[in-house]
Amino acid sequence: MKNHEVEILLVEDNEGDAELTIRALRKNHLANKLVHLENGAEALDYIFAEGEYANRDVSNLPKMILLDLNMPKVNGIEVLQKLKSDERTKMIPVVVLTSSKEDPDIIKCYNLGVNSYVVKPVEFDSFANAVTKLGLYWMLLNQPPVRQTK
Amino acid sequence: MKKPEKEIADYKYALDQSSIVAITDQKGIIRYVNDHFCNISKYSREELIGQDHRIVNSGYHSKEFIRNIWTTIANGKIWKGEIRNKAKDGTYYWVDTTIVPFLNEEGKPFQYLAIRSHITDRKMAEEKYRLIFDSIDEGFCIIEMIFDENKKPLDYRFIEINAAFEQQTGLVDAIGKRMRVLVPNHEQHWFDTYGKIALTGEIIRFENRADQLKRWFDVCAFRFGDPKNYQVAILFNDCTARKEAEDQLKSVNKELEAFSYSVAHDLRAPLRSISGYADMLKEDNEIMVTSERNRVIDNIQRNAKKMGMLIDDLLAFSRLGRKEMVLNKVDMDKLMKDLLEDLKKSLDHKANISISRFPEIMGDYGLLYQAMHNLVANAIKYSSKKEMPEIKIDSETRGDDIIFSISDNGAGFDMKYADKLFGVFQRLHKEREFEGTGIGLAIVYRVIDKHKGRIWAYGKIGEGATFFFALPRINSTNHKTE
Repeated sequence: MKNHEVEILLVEDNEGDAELTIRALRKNHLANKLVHLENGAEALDYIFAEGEYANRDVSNLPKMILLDLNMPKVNGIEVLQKLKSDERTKMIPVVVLTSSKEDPDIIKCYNLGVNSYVVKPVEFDSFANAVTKLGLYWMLLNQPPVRQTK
Repeated sequence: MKKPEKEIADYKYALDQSSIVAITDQKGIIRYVNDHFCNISKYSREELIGQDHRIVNSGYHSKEFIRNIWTTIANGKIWKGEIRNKAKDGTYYWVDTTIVPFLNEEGKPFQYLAIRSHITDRKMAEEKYRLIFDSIDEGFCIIEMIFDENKKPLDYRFIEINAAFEQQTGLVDAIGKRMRVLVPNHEQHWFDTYGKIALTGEIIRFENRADQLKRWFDVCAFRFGDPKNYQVAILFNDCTARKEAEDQLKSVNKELEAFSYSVAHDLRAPLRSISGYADMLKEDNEIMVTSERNRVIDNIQRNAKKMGMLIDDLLAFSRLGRKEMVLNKVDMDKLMKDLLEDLKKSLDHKANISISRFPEIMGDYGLLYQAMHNLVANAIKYSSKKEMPEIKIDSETRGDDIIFSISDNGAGFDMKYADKLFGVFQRLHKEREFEGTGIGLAIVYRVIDKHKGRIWAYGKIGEGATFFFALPRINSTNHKTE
């Protein structure tokens, strides 16, 4: 897992949400190279190849990051800030997928350079739909920035 | 008539017309009164001439006051002042009086000329004013500003204060004194504001705190009298109670907002999972194996249960906010004993709990029970995975406080996130590792806060955690302010 090419990084602490998100993506064949981490601290360690992920190849960056905001310890906003303020990672599309509909959070995220902010709908149908559409859009339709070769 | 004599006659005429005039000899016997004198004293000329001037004495002024008049004029000096006299019908009247002694060749007075003007109306207005002045609840004072050569306000002096002044400010005996002497570290902005009013004539209404007096004041101040006198009238009241209530309301509202936010967020998640897993069953029913189906159904039930717990906890938490504290002596020994028995029954745990003796403290038994319950239940929960779970509950007197501590040898926590411990629904562990809604400590925090105590914790991952809280001792001075 550590050195496989990662396409989607899912940072989500809620088990149910994580399982259902992965399921929706898998149904659309978007989940092959998906990594799921459960808190912000771990996510940062993974991306920047630190801590327990020190052996990871840091140039192997995800094509898209699905990020929840309300996580224990390091929360989503802090992760977003670190991602968007680092040269190496600021180009990675970050989609905040969260329960929070609160304006201050939305504004804060956009100020930090989030690419998209989606509120998790309560009804699962809509949620699955949303995830599917996000996956299809960012992975297939959207043109990523030119990748630097290893 | 010779010219100088006519002049004198004219003066006399003018005087008689404008003022109340009387002439007494050096013994105080009335020799001459003008018409005004008769009108105001209601005596006829015949009743007055040859009488001692004491005929109009009202008994209002003190003996010293009267003696002082005599001493002054008997020494050939002019006396000026306000006197209250009594008319023939017993009514009183005020006169602004100037008594001029006429001196003979030896420099001794041989008669006194008293010139008076009737000021009863003014005096009555003043009395009415003073009545209002002293009967209002608000503080009222007149100050005189003191500036330096550059017109920068340095200080002010109290010229007049009303009856309520002392109660509103806590300043005793302030008349004639300077503010900087009465209250050495009074904030400069007070002097600046009053200085501005004295110089510009502006009327300013404001609220501000006087730290040294430990009060908030609602103030209306305006220039008073001749601008050259730099006097400012100040109408004010101590609004500390209102300010504190406002602040408390603001903080309660903020807490409520954060709380509602947490509620909405944390209740949506389980709902979404239930809906999602149900969908999964519907979609994949044909292809699911029994074990997988059961797993999904378990998840649905787990989430439903979680929502129930969340709702219960939220109710408990919000009830806590509204509950009135009942302060009594709490026997902490008994509380702990009851609690540990309860926990043994309800949790059926295998933790070894050691306790010491605890002193009595002032508090709300129910709330303290709930707080201790959450702390000890946590200790049990987080040490439940150890072979030999050990919990130690202790207390220590330190200064004015009793410090209680609950330590366990369980999973501990990362000190980096210590400030998140007491947040609503904040958890430092995964749901899988340790069940919980994250409200237990938030409740404890609130209880301790209501008791005006402090709570903090130390933790080391894998080794354990200790929670401390401090409550005021029974005989400490803190209780006097309650």
